[in-house]
Amino acid sequence: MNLVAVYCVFFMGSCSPIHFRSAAAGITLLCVGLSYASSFGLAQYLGGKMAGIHGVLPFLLIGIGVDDMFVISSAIDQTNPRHSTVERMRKGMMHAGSSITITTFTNAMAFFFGCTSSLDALASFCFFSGLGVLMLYFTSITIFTAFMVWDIKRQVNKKGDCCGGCFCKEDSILCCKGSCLTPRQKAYPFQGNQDDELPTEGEYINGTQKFLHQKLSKATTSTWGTIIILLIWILYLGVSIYGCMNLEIDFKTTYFISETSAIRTYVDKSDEYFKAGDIISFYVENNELEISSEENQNKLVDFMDKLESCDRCSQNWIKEKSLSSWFSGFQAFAKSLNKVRPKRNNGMNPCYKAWDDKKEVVVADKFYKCLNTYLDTQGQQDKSKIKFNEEETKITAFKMEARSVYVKSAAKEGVQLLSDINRITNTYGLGETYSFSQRYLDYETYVVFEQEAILNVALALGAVFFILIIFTANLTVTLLVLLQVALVDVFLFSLLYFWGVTLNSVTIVNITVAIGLSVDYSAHIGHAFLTIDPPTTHIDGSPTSKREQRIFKARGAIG
Amino acid sequence: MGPSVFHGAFSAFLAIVVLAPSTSYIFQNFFKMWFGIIIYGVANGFIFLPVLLSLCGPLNNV
Repeated sequence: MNLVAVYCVFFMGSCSPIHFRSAAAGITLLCVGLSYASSFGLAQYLGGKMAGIHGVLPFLLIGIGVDDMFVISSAIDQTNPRHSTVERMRKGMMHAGSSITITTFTNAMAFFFGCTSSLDALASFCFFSGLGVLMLYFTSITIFTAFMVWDIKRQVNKKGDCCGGCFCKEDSILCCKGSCLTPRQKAYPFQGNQDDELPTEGEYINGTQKFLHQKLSKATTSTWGTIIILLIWILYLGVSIYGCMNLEIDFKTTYFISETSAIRTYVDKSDEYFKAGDIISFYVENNELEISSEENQNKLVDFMDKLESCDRCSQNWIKEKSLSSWFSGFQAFAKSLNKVRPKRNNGMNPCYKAWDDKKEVVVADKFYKCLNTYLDTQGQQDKSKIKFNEEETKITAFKMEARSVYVKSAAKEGVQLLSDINRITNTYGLGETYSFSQRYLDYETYVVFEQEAILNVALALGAVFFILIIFTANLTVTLLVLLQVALVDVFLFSLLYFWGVTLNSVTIVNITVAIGLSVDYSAHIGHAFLTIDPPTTHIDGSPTSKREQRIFKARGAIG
Repeated sequence: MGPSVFHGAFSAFLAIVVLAPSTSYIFQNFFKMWFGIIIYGVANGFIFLPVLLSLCGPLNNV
């Protein structure tokens, strides 16, 4: 944050007390802060919910906001300094304003389309950032622009910026002896006389511009430059496509836990040494269901069989003999006591003749009496797994547990496991049966993930296209800018692969952000290209074709 | 237009550099992705797009 502040202070203006812009840089950050706070408040008010990923929002807003305000301040700098302040603002905002409007609306559209995602965290993040971008737009065209008016007046009156002005003069050593000032900045009304000739547009505004204007433009518009760059891009695209193909989708909730924590160590070690699956619980709930009936007992046995053998699964998800159910314990108990006659002197055996050998079920009449005995003696550990109604005459819910095999990839195997187990519980389960395990949290994300991710990226690109075509009214430029955005996404996916990051809901949020930001970078250039008049006079060493000259200027100077 | 976009990109870059040493997964992930976004975004906007525009950009003003 401080770094950004220092950077803004040094590069927004120039190194002279008059052209220094520490106050404007401060206002920039203030605007970012204000729009962060206001969008946050508004989003919360409208029912937006926070998740861990929202922590990165301030950085996103700094990225976009500082960009916008740099555009405004440099556009104003490039107007004729001898015009009145009103005229300069008008001219400057004419260029900067439309550029910012385009990028803001493309960004906002891309984000708001992201809100339709069924991944809640992504939708909410997009909502927050969409509002944030709009708020940035409002603050930069109101507060920041208003401040710029004041700043220009200050410059014209030759008053120093609040800090830089107090202790050094325009040509002192502290200000590089004024060497970094451009002819335009040295001219009247800042210095010199009113009658001096105004430097032409060809005089560069500052160092960065000089570099971009002369070196880079010349390099990229020459024949060889063009060929080399096209070649590099095609090669890199090939590498990227390879990376994209191999990108894995994976996520574990434990990623959110610090790598040094005990939990993380435990989970990692247990994955490494024991490859233990986790425990899946099956819950059966139904107030109407009478479990003691012969039919339902058979159903339950059948359900347990199907689970253990993992009926028609793509892979056997349940570890062998890992299903632990109170019902099997109870059956065995009833069977063993079936023939034990109650002793005359010593109480009774409620399970006597409670087992029907032929039908292999517990006799319905004696079901609950025998079950109570079981739960009081051998089956005490099962007590917590059964829920009786208030009168304790009927089972209303119960649960069973099984251990799953080790699932390596939540996105591939996890999703299959989830769909297989869900199919079994839906087909064979009694009453309302559902299952849960810790890692279901991971699996469930990926059920809709792939399709959602693609849809989301496509929607965002669609939004970009839509807005650009409206604002630029030029199909070629729109398509070219869109191509850049798509390329950045492809490159980014492959970077993930080469950097060992997996694709998951956190990364997909950033992909949406990537679309927004890369539009920023490309659209400003594309828009500048469209609005620039090809110069009539020749700049030394500049290329001759009309297109190339426009590029030259779009990237280098006026915008 | 170039310098302002460039400065904007560079300041965004500075904003995320501080995330690099973080051990939190979200911030790590965020740093890597933004690193890519800024580098690729600027490279495409400043080098590739102008090349394409100079080859087939429109000539009429809007």
